[in-house]
Formats: sequence, structure tokens, C-alpha cells
Amino acid sequence: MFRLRWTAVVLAVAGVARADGPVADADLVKFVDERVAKYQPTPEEKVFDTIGWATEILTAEKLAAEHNRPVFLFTHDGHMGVGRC
Amino acid sequence: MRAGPLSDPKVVGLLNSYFVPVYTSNEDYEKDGSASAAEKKERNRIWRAALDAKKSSGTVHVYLLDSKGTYLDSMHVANAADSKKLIPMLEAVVAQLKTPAGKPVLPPAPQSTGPKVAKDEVKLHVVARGFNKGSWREFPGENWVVLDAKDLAAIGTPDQDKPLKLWDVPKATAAKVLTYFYPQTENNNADPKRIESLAMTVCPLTRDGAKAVLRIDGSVTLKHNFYPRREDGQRAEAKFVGYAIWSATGPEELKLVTTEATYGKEGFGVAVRLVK
Repeated sequence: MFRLRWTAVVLAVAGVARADGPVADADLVKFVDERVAKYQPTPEEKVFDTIGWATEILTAEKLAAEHNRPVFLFTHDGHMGVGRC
Repeated sequence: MRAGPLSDPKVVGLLNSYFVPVYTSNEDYEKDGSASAAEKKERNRIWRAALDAKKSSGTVHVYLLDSKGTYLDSMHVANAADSKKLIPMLEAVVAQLKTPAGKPVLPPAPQSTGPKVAKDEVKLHVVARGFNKGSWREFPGENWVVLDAKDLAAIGTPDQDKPLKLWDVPKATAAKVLTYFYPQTENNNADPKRIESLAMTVCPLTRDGAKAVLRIDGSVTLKHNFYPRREDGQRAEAKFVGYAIWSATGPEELKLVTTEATYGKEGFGVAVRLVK
């Protein structure tokens, strides 16, 4: 928190709009922080992380045998864990 | 699936209470993929078992097995992506096996945590999301980028003797980050060779003796087909801005964000942040 406030202060002091940039120096930290926060995955988009995933099929089968449970396997293209699929 | 049933509380509850859930990426199970030979053999056995049972089988599918690994049922993703179709299949297996409800066998954990890095390295988290509403493609895609000591030296410095002037980040370093500036597509080839042009400049704004605040500006154009191995001439184009706070030990903060970005006619946004 302190660091962000310090940064905002120094940028405000530095701050005149740069002709070659779309965001003025004085607005830079606020603009970037807000937009970076806006694009982060939301809790609703991280519900996937509330599932107790096994990391391999053989591990899942071993645990299934130990706990007498069925296995749910999803095979897919891409990388679902990071949302790139 | 992730944006649909695997974010549906009913499905999540069924998986945690009655199943041992696992997902696999097909590329890991290809001939040169990172999965072990035993894993590949077992995945292929399951695919074959579905075929032998004259049930649905394929690369992008849900498969259900009993506690001994015996094939029970399967469903193509086109159907499984609909919770109304997936839930009955899950409930039927639970009823058939009379599986009692319980706690998750494995504790849930974040699936996107990034790689471990050495002392002189840092990792950046990249989030890209499309702006088309009502599509799986507005769901954020995440990637992780590791910058080594050479990369960091090229981006920032708190050096008080360095003139207050712009410098360019070398293409090899900038490309490590910018190669992920594309929205969700079926194609996840992130080879930096796709980049047609890029620029990343750094400008010191302030220095107080121990730290420097650096402004970062740039742009990238990269060729990125929507489907793997299917040429369509699509390009992602983006302009971005950011800042970094640099001390003698390296970056304390580093963030980038797109100010405008398009993939064909579609808008998208990308955010990059340092994660310690």
C-alpha cells in the first residue's frame, strides 16, 4: 500500500503527458493498476479451482481404488488449468 | 467445459463428493508428450475400452470409470459441455455404484500457479480475455513467463548514472511476454516466431537513489491462426503501457496492460503482472 502511494506521488510530481503515449505519466500507475485488476480472473471464473483434481490418470485410479469411488476423466486439447483451451 | 459445467456448483459438488476427478491435456499424451509411458498406455486403454463398448470415444471426451478402472460411460464434449446432459450421466453412475457422499479425496488447489523460479529470476502472470460477450472466449486465458537475469538487466535498472532517456528492450526478451498477447482461440501455439513486429521501450520517470520508476510502452503484431494447423491469416495487434519499480535487487513491481488490442474484428485485453 505504502509503495503504491509512494509511486503515485512520484509519478504525479513527474507527471506531464508524453506526446508519444496514450496515458499521461501522472495517470500511469492508476490506469495500469485499475486495468490490470479488471482483467484478472474473477472468483466465478476460478470455481474450477474448488475441485479436488488429481494430476494423473494412474493417480486418480489408485485413489479411486483406495476410496471406492468412480473416476471422472476429461481428456482435452489445450491447457484447461490455465484456461487456454 | 471449464466455462460451463466445471464452473457449475452442481457439477462441482458431484465431482468433489462422489468422484476422483482428473483432466489431461492431449498434447502431453502424444508420442513426444511429457506424460509417462504408463500414463499414455492407460489413457489409450480407456479410449479403446469405450470403443469396445460401442460407446462414444474420442480425444475431447468425458470418461467415467469404476473404482477398479473399468470403463462405465463416456460423452463427447459437445454434449458434456451442457450441464443438463452431464449431470444425469454422473448421477446415474453414482446410483449404479451406490457411492456414498464424502469429502474430496484430494484437497482443491489453484491450478494455475506458475513455475518455480531461481533466485535471479522472476515470473510474470499473463491474463488475456476476449471482449465478445456470451462466448467461452471471454473466459480468461492465463500464461506464465519466466524472465532470467539477462532479461531483467535488459528491462530495468536503478542505476543513477544512466542518463534519463528511453531504451529499447531487446526483441528476444520482449517476445517472451508479448507472444501471449492473443485472446482465447482453439490454437495455443505460442511460438515467438509468430511475432511479425514488436517494440518495447522503457523510460525512467523518477529515481530517488535506491529505486527507479520506469514507464514501459510498446506494441506487438503476431500471426495467430484460430485453429491449430489451419491457415487463416488472422493477426493479433496490440498496444500496451505499463510501469516498473526497480531497485538494486531487481523489479519490485512490473505491470503491463493493453490500451487497445484487436484480433481480426474482435477486441481483447491483456494484463501482465509480476508475481512473487
